Amino acid sequence: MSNSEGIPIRRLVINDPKDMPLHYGETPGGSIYSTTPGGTRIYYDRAFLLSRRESPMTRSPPSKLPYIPEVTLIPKPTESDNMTENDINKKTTSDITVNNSNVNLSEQKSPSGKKEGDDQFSMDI
Amino acid sequence: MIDGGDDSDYLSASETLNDDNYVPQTAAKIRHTLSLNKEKIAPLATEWTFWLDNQKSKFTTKEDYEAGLKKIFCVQTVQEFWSVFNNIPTPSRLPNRVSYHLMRKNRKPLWEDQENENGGIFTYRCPKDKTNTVWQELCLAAIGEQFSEDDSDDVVGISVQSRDGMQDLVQIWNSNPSEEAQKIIDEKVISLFPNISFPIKFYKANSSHANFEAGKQQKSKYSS
Repeated sequence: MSNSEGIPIRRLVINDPKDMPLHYGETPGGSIYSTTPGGTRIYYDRAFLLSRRESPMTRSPPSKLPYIPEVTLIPKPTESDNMTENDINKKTTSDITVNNSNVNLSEQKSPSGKKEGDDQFSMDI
Repeated sequence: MIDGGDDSDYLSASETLNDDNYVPQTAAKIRHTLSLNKEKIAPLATEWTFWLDNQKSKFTTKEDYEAGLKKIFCVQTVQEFWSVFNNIPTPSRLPNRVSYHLMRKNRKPLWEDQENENGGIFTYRCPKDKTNTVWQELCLAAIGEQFSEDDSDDVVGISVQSRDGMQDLVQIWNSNPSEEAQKIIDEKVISLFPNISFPIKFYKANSSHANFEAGKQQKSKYSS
């Protein structure tokens, strides 16, 4: 159906014998790709996961991400699909201003630019 | 529904707002785009679902709590995970008592969910300046199955809740309240964050909460 896909590699840093996986003997080199119920599974270490953080697909949200005003940083459904990241941020900021006078999610709007903007949430909701 | 994974563009034309359509279609799209970029998709061991939880008050019924829950997205691959994670605000930007949950498969972040009722939650109070880091690292450890030392699905959720005051809450859901399972979680947390001290931490079985609302049919199943 589609292109062949690589086999995910299980990477483990072993610092101590107790870190050895139980099933290492079944999968020399540590690569595991199986859907066997209760059997082998897919592991990823932090370095691999972080290496995918900036991959082209991850910069924009999934196309089916629902619109949640305070949360998903995407334009309202009726608006244009292909916006750049900056446009999205601008759009989101203005949506928040309109829809949500109580909740301030925008760091730029933080009155005194407090660290992480945490103190601004001390109102009772 | 399951067969909808083919790269068939016409699907979108007739598509309804049905959750079951989301994942196969999105996954197919991501696969297509990645094949153009020569990057391999990296499937996760299981699906994980991001939830938003807009809890209005501390004492709430299961129904009120459920009403405040919104499914953000169900991810099947590492790329989909980042695609969602990178495009929602960091936890430090959430209002007081608003939470994110990343739950294994389709279970809801509810004590009473059939898949959670026999499990429990390890809660850590987390210094606010560390919340974003801890949330990200715990999510990575969860989807990378770094908690799963014995090929089990014991860790079934990660939650973060923004709180007024000095600390936020970070929680790890598991399916097995044994002391051994608790110890594995805590040791993993300590090894992930050797330089962060969590002022309070405790484990609580989901069914032991005062306002746990056990399903009646389940109870009778075991009581007769």
